[in-house]
Amino acid sequence: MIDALASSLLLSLKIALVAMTLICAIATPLAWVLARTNFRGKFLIESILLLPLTLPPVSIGLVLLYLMAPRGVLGTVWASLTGHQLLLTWQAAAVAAGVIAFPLYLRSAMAAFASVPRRLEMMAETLGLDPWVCWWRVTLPLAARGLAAGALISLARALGEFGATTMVGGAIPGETQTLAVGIYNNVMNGEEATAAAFAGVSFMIALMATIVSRWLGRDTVTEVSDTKVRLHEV
Amino acid sequence: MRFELDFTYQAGASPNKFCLHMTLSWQAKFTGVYGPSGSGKSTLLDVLLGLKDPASLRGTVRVGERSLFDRSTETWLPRQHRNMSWVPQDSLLLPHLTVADNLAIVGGGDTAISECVSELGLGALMTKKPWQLSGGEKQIVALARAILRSGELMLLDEPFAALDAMRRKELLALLQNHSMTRDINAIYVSHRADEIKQLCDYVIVLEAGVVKWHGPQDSWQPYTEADNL
Repeated sequence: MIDALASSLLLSLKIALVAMTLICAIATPLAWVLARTNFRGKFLIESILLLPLTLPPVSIGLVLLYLMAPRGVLGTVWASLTGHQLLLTWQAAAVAAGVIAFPLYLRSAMAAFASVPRRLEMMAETLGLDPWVCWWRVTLPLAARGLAAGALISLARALGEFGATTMVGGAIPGETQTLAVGIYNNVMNGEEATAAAFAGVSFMIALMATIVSRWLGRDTVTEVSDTKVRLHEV
Repeated sequence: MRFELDFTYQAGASPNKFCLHMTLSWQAKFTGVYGPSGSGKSTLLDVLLGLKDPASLRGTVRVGERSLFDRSTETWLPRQHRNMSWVPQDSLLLPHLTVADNLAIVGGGDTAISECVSELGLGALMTKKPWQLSGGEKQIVALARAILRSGELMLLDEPFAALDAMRRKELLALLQNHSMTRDINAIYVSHRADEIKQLCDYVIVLEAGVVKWHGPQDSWQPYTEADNL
């Protein structure tokens, strides 16, 4: 049992970390654009990007199944790059977990960027800093806590993902059996003690991630001058 | 320094929104902008700094040899290229940086920073974060940052309002000395006539978004020209 648990835990962490990295790379610039600009159709785009929050994960898994199939867009691209199929691999599970956890990070990141006072950024620009330098040295550090909180909560969500990851990754012990999948498999096999152990580990990880995420994203107040400016409220 | 302003700033589409209109040319080293709250003093500085949305501006703004804004040619000089120093009312120190880092971000060099820190008596504050400073201390750090920036035009927006009378007097003298020794051009916004009288050689009086009076400081009589202040 210990070996199976350790194997599933390591696989879950690998999948969740890859998913979180993908999410941060894609959603951070996207969140900044959405938080700082207004354009026609923005509301619709935001709604579509936040859709995984409300859609059943299995239905997202079904869409990903078509995309990752050998003749699907993602499956074809992956095969041309690696020579292997994407479906039923841990990488497919990581992409699925990333899609499900994406809106949680996006929402936190948008709130973090929106809470950085625009006048501070403009002040930095009047000092001669180019907007890109200003983004690195002013915007990003001031939004960092909110971004870290969002990353952590999306990591926790990716760790616990079941529906979409099972659709595209399957439930192959030692290969794509994550903690969540392990709970399901063990219950189906009548091994309730093992399932409980898997659930206990999942519970502890989720609790820690949630506590740290809330601590990072707690309502910090930074003095810009005599006026108190709320930086993050995640 | 020569200023040629012929612009209208409209805060929003509604006619009830604040509007600042200026058609004025003058040449001065230290210009004082005087007027009651809401008269458009800070808005004028925002326009010069490029903080206002260009879509809300009409006309032209020229400072020295530079065209900062020209609606007819769609010219809008980016903030980072305007070469100006700014001391805002609320200091706007970067809250995640120490005082030392707030000064270093300007890139004036260690020697210049040491001289400025010593001149303004900031030595004990260097390792502190802005939230650990009093309102007055923040303003002095913001002044140090503007001095280190050494732009061709310094814009000071009621910089000493949070200071006690003695400290204000000291810093006014320092600023006056500094402007003479380092050949600084400045625009000084205040609703204190005595400060403007002490520092400035040209005065613009604003009221409700329009220029009520302008001219050399020695011909300005604030208590008759703006007796509502």
